[in-house]
Amino acid sequence: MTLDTRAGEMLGTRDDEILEVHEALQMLAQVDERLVRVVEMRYFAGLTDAEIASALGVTDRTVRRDWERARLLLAQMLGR
Amino acid sequence: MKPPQDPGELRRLNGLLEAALALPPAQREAWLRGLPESDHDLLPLLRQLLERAGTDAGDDFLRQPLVLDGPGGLDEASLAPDAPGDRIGPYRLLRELGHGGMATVWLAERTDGSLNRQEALKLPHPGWAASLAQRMARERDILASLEHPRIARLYDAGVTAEGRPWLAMEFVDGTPIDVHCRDHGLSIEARLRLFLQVAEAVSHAHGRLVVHRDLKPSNILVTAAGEVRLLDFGVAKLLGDDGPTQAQITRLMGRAVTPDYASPEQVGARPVGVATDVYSLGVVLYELLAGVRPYRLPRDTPAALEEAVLAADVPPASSRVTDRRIARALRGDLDTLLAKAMRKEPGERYRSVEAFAADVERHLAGEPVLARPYSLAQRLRKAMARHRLPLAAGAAVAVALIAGTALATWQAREAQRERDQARALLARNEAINEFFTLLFGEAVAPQQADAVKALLDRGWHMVGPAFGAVPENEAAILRILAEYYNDPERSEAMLARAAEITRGSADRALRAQIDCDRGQLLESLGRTEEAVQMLERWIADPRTPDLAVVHCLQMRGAIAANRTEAAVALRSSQAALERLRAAGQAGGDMEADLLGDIAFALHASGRSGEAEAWFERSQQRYRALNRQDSLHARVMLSNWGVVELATGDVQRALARYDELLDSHRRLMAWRDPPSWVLGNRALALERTSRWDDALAAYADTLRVSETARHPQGSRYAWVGEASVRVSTGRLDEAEAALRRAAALPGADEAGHPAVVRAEWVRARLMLKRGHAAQAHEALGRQLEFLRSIGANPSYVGMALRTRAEAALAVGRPAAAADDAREALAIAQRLQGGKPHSDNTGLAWLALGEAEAALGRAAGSRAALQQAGEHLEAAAGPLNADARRARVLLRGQATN
Repeated sequence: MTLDTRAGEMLGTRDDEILEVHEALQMLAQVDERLVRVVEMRYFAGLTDAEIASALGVTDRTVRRDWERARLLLAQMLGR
Repeated sequence: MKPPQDPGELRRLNGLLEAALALPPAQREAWLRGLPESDHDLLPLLRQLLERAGTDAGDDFLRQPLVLDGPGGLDEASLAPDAPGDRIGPYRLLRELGHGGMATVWLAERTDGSLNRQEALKLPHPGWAASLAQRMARERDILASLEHPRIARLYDAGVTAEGRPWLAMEFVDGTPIDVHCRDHGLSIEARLRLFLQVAEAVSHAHGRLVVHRDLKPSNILVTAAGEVRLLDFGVAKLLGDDGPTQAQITRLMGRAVTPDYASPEQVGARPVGVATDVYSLGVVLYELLAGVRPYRLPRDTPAALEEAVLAADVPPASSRVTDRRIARALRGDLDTLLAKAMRKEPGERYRSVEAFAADVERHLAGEPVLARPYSLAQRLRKAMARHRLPLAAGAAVAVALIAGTALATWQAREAQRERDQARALLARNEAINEFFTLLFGEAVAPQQADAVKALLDRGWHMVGPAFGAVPENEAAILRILAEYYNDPERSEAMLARAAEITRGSADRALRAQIDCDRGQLLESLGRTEEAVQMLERWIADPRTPDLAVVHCLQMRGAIAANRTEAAVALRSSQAALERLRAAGQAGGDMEADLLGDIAFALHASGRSGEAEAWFERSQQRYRALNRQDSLHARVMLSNWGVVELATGDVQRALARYDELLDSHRRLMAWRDPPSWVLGNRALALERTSRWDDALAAYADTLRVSETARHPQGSRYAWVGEASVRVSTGRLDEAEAALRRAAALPGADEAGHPAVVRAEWVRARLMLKRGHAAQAHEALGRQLEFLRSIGANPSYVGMALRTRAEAALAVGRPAAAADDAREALAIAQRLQGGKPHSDNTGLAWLALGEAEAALGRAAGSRAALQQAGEHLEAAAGPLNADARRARVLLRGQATN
């Protein structure tokens, strides 16, 4: 479902706000690429820590730490 | 607290946070105090973040993976506990047979008398229904794929009117296998033979790529005739299935599975496969033979549990029994065989349940078993390394022997799974899809568009060769690629191909989604008939899975909305909502979205007054899900504002847009607010006659729309500016702005709000320039067009009001009064139950002037009185027309 069909009057949302998470991730990627990978795999793909660890070739513990840090930074950036 | 504004600041914050998180919490404050002066600006932020770190309470930001169609809310209707005699679907509950972590199993009978038998009815616990529906559907699919005399069969499945899913299964009148062995005082041999029946059933499931994952005595019943029946595939997993909810189900299962029989990898939430069932069968057999479980487990935390399972030292079964004869029977082969089944490392266990069973059979036949004590196996491996060649040949023979077994199926599937894992995830996961659609769609900067297109073209040629082996995967990828293209023809071609290669597929959900996406594209290509037929075929087909029907109905509604077929849009969204609820999937974002869609469709159908309540429910739903700041929630709020603008509640709409703007600035300081918030807010400002603010807001709208290359947004902004200029008498500037608007692409979308508004402002400009007859004619044409497309009545009212002015200017006051009265009727209908509307006020104003021209002073005074009241109350004391009404009224009073 595209948002164009949802937003009234000013039809069309090319500059969609759904970009907010994306943009926050983009900014984060400039700082720490791996954090972004962890967020994508964990939040968007629903992988477990172990699955992420094996995909990235790091330990579960590192994934857990990265995730905590990424979550805190994103929460801050998105004002949540 | 201000969010980090630039990458440099973020980089510093990230580094400091990493260092601080590595420290034990108690040492962090001291460490913070020791930071150099240059980092002191970040101290408040760091403290705040560290305070939040590790505290789970009330902080669920990003905690749950994005699940697009997995609502988790409680189903209020099903909170009352079940009781014997209750009716569930076509069944009456008789008595409870047992209950597990999430569901209760009842003995039940059909109320329609169609089948005279008792069945086992599985029901999620009251209150769990919504979140469990998906899992119940999986269990149903898994059970339906299994047909074996030793597996309790699935008879029927459905969902109650309240949305509660149920499964009707074969009722097995039997006792748990451990109880059966004990009560009948079975011999070791009889126990082993019973166990072989269990292995047969589990092996059948493995051959269908199903892992049971919860094997334990209470799920293995033995009938009076001594037949084994395997039950409860509620937590079973399809091998190689990386569907969107798999990870979540696994996590849930981490808690739901009985830990006493769980494998180390299961307890540690690592990937599970057939080896997990081998392990659990080992524990079950151990208990059957030794009469006790191999180990006792602590129940406190998952971590302690994992540790215990991993650390548990399993004493030989023979050492646990007091009866010497039994101990002797267990010592040797059976001890070894159990130890091999229960190895900590999955790879060291029997490779399949069949291999396990074969060893048990060998033992029963008096032949030597293949399992060896661990130390011997290690020695053998060393020997293998020394004599690689001859043993490798032996291994090839072994592979040939196991070909055609469940293990071979599993291995083949596993090999493919590993190869395709990353892409299979991409193909199946709607959430990833959403993210990448963004990345390749909206996030592409204009200067990168060509490069991205080239990349996508290459992708489109790669899909077939890379994924053609599994048509569903190829099709799912094509569906995603199609969404990335900003080129409907290209996308349509991809979806047509996806539809073709999945024509015979059993995955109806995928096929329906492909066709329904395709329908929306066909519509944009002008092939509406075809599109509608395609969608309606899937919607009408009783075999289409529920959520796919909901998706198709949403698409149907979207097509109708684009074509201003408001009634169809409304019917489709309503039907989608009903279907969603019937499928037990209510309570999530999807429901909130549909409630908002219905609200807007009601407005588009001219029933704006009813929209309010639906918007309110939609927002309540978002709030309940803690998604009130999500994009969809904000789009719905903005649409609510649009409806308020149409009903004439300008000040309320303005407050709403101010709030949206504030929340945007609060949440996303680093990017511009969306054009639809800016544009609609500008209109609200214009209608309160705050001219300078409105001009500034239209300028913002223009800037943002241009950056986003959104021509209708730009047009809306130029037309808005022109409208303000006409109202303030700056006619040349108005004309220039209209010219800019006309030069933008998309002017042929005659029904688009920006185009409609442009025509209206142009007519007003003509009128102001003194070309009243021309304006009158142009407005007549516009009215005819608006009525022909069934446009929203608020546009019709707008045109009628202005035509009344034009009629007055050409000396036709009676025609003016007619138009004004019609505009008034429309405005009053739109106004609904609200006390005031600026549109109503404007229509009264036009009527008042017409009445004055007709010499009906009393009627005119009454109308102008009304106009002033409405305009002032709805659009504020500064409103220019409110002032005009008062001035005219005073003029009449002095006459």
